[in-house]
Amino acid sequence: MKSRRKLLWALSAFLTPHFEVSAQHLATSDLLKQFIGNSPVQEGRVVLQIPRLTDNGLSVPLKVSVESAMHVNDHVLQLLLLSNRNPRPLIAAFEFGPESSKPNFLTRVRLGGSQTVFALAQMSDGSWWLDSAEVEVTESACLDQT
Amino acid sequence: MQSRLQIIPSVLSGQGTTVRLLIRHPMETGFRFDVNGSTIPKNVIHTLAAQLNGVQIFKATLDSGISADPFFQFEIKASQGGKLILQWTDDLGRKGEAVAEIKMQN
Repeated sequence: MKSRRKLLWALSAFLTPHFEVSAQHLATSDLLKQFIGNSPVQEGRVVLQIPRLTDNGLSVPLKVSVESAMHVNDHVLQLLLLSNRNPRPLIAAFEFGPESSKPNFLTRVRLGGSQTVFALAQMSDGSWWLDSAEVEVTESACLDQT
Repeated sequence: MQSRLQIIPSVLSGQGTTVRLLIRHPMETGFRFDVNGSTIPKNVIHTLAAQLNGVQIFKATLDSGISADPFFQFEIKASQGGKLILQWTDDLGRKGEAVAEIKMQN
């Protein structure tokens, strides 16, 4: 009986740190630094819509739009969709020109577990704008390795 | 590559229109294994570009975070009618294209 308890203790000690590591999310500041360096980021102008709870991470509807006049002097340069838990944090990057319409995208993304999804937009004046949304994913898209 | 492009064919002048694109593609992540335990090589559509009358509307860089059979809905401002061309390329170098004609209604 005692030996089995010891074995369970040893097992739990061995397993626990592993779980902590795999469930760890990338810190927001580290994630943003990877893509935009130390540029200041403000919240607003970008609207990210994604379900709060989703059963399947393989296909999650995501809607993102950016408030902009889309003039030659004031338009959106690029739009990044980032994940803080997927094995590859960059989901998609869009580049726009002054001829583009107001960015208003709907797509379907893969999510490797419950996490925060970020939408980052850079305007033609160089400023970065952010919106984020938390998603609970019941079944992760990553079933192997990651 | 099979794809479906849906667009409202006649647009009121000065108004925008919504475009929907669905591509049949596995979007292999490169993280999965086959029955023999060897890795299934990564194969995703990495570039998608849209142009109207030769002017680029947007260019997208995609990765494994986009679902299999990618779907996109976006808006374009069609101040004059024209030819909408969507082009994409995957990791195997295969290219796909979808074309639609936009007519203006006064």
